[in-house]
Amino acid sequence: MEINRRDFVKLLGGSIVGFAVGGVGEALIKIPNAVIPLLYKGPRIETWKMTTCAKCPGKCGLRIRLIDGLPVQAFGNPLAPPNNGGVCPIGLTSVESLYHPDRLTSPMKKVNGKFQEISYIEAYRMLSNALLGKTKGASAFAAQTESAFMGGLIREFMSGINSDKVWVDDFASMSVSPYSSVSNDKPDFIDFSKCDFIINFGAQLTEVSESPSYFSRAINDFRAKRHEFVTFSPKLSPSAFKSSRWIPVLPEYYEDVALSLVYVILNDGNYDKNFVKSEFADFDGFSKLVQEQYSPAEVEARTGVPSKYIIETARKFSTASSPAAYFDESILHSSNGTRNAYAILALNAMKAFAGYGKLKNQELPDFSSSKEEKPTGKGWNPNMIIGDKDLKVLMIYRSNFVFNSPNAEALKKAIADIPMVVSFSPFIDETSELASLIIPDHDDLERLEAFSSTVTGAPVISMQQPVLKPFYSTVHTGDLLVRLVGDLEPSKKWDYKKYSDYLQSYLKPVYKRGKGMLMDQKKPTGLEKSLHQAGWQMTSYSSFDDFWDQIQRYGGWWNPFPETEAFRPKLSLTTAQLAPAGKGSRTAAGGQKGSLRLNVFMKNLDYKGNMLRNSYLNEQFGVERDVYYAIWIEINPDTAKKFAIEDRSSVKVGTAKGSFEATAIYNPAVMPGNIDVPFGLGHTVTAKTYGSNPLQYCDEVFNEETGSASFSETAAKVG
Amino acid sequence: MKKILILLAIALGAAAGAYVVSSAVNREEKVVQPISFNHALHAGKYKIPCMACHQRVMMGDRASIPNIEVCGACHSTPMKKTPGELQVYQYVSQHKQIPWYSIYHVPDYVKFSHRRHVGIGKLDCKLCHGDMTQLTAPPQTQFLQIKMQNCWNCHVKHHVTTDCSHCHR
Amino acid sequence: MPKYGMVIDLNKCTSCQACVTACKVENNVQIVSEDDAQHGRAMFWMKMLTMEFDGDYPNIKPKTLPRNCMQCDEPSCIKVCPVRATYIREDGIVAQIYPQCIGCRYCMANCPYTVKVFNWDRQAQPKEVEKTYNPDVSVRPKGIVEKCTFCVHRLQDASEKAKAEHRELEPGDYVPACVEACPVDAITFGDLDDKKSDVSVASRDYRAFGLLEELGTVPKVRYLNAIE
Repeated sequence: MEINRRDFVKLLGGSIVGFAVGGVGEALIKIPNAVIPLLYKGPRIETWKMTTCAKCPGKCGLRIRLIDGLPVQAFGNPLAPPNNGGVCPIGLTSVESLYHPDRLTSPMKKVNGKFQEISYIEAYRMLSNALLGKTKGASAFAAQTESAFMGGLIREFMSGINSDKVWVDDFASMSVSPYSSVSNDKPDFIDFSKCDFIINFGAQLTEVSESPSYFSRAINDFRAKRHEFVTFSPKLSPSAFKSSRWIPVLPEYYEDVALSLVYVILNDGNYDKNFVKSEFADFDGFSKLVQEQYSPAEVEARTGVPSKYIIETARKFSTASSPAAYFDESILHSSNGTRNAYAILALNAMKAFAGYGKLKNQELPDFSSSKEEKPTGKGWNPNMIIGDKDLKVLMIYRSNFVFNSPNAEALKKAIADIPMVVSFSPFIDETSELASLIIPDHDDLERLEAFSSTVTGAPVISMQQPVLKPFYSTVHTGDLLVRLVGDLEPSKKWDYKKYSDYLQSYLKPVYKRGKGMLMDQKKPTGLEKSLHQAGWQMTSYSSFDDFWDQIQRYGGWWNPFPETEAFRPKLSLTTAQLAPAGKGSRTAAGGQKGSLRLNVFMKNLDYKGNMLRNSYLNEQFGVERDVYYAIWIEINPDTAKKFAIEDRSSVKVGTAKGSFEATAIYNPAVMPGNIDVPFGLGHTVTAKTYGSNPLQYCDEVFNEETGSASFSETAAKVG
Repeated sequence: MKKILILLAIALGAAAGAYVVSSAVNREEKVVQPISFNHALHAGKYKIPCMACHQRVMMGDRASIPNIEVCGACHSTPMKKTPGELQVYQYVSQHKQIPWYSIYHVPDYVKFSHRRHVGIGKLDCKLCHGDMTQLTAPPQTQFLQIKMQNCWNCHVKHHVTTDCSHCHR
Repeated sequence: MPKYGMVIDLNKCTSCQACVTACKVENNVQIVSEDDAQHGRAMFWMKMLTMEFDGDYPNIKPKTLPRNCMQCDEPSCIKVCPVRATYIREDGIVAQIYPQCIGCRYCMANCPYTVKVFNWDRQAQPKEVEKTYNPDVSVRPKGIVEKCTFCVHRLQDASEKAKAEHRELEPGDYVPACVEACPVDAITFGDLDDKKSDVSVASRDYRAFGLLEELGTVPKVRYLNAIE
């Protein structure tokens, strides 16, 4: 066939017509409905509003971009000290949840197993009637909030209705909860400016931590100073490969490792003798225990950690001028988690907690009075619902503990027996689905909330301002609780009408003290800095109302130059709290012949199983493994070959509780004998369900004290 | 070679077709506005400058079509009893937005900015929108059709950049 | 005329993927269906490359690499484009003009970095994603090739803003979304010709390297090696 220019033009013309006809129906250049009004009509006025991300413990400042009053994008607030303008994937997609089709639009009541919309007045009446005149211990509250203000209100509310069954899942206070039983004080921050050697026990600092953005930057600065940083963890997580050395060890052996580090330090004699003499209650008993049972050789035999690494790390730790051994909430996720933490405290005591810091003046609102009565991590936790016959009302705020726990079935059964289960979740999830009444909270962009943190070494109050008016008939849970307190306890002196009144009462002392600055300018340097330190103020507010307006507008307040002091606790650690090696409730999951160990790991794209409803995160979850919309396991090639598993093949992972399909991926950095599984997939309630929730296949092993689920003590088989 | 040529032709047609169809629809459509706004009266007789109502013309991409917030400045009380004026008053008094149709819209793959053309380039509105002071009723079609050819002609004439990605995105 | 370039410091990068999300959100990059994604049609302008490893267990380090369009000075993609839909601008940005593109995918085949992605299909996007579209960037139709443009729409806006304020474009006025989002400031962006700019200094660092430099594409996105 000869094709000349004329034919070509003909062809061209024909195809234009052809496609033009098809094009109308198919709308190849379709513009989404949502932006048509904006695109065609709106003046397209761009505004920016500052708020704070509440999706993880990080408290990053956000800068929301609004077009014609509707939020479209989120970026980091460059003046917020925790994140300095950077923001993680969760923060970047935080606008999504505002428009999410799965959001609850009004209060719901369960009638014959189905949810029905009801009015707020009716919902409020149902809840207050259920709470009225109940005996002690008849109601319980399970909450997940990173705000100390909200946590304080919840505790106050519960003590008002005469119940101590409160569980506030707050990363920051969970992280320091081990301190509460063995020491008289807790540290405010790890002092990166002073530290010169860090041992990290399993904390995923750059991914799931008290402030991933802050820790990422701090670690980079720390490494730039050529300081060393050793990580003990079961998985080479991004935080672990940022460290100078990664030493693979299973989480339940952290105590052995920490105590054998102590062993080396004690034998070298290079420790702070004054500190242990004056502040360590039973030091002699402790050193005897360590000397008897934790020699590096013995620990190597038990844990597989080469003794040369233990000795090397211990010597570096003892010769450093201010070393720190760090752990956070993640350490609680093993059966002996709290004991691990005690062992690490003992290790820190060898150098008098030199790497930690404490703020001299308490400039942040203090909720510790209520904490001392019921320290976090101790006392009630949702696992205690099982078998609790007294429980008549269970309230759930933002926590999806059914999804986050291996004993979901038992929990579901126990919750079904409670007459009144109220959820304040803005979404239907695995936990709120079980509720008999849902009074949905606002989305984060519609909410007013305050957060306080000291993780950066400075006192910071981050404000979450309502960026726009609520779309639906949702209710701020804080407002609801404030009102309930007023209604249920008429005798109590309760001046608050709204949650904002409650916040204001705690922010007034901050205003009155007159220190610090709003997040409206960069951290002062040079002359401004010295003026600032001398007490000279550059405040732009003249009254508390001004302050209240501006702290919301700029996203927060902080004191850039706080006075700090060394952290010097008194330790009352007894040898009984460090159970003898090899005993206790440690399950030897890897011990069984022919079986592997299921190690569930967390990724920074998810926090507590709540984030993957964001479509972008959902797609991106496995991108660096080239896995899309599927669950995968990572396995060491040597181990895999033993079980005849090929790279990227589909395998069945079986545990005592059942089995699930996954793609096996070779990863030479996985501990031999481990199967690493990501946590976050396998939702059964939201629309986007794929993969499996590995926790549902895990053995029901919990931390004895906090009830946190163990993530890595399950025997598994693949094939 | 032939095959490639044929494929090329089809593909070219596909892309061109898609774009031509979707924008042509908007260009030819005749639009009737909810209120018969009299530009001749406002801009012609009373000499209200364009920018007094199309307030964003120097500030952003869109010149913005004024709505009750702007109209209400004068029409918060009924002045004369012309039907159009009464309609405006009703919208203003009921705090309802006037559902204006916009006639000119640029596809989303083109950046067109009024600030750039009027604010920085100091172009006369008439160049694209015609002499609005003569119109007693709202225009029903685009004066200068929004076509790349029209953009191009003017850019070439005024020696402004014709680099594709300066306008396309 | 500036020459825009980017330097990514792998020593600072924590592979948190904020750049990947920021890029998708900023540029309305399509979320493909499950089926398409599993067939390797997932669309990422900025992507965290699949991990490889250095060393032996347990002294092992993964190699991660955020990879966007290299914005080559001698791009191989523009040489094969039959319709000049992709070309190099005076300021060094390799532009991609979507209305011009015919979807022949020659450029994709010729790109040694495989940074270009093809719209195999235009699926209905999740509702919440549609509502958060960035109005500054077009939603590309099916059948065309797209790629990282160094967020050229941000340059359009920034230069207009600078002009309206009667000043020159200053460094920092224009940065792509990935640079803005990076929590550890691992990505530097700016004018490579300005010998004093951060990016220019970094690109001449002893740790600097370009991907597949031996091909002569002269990438303007350069990397700084991690310090061991």
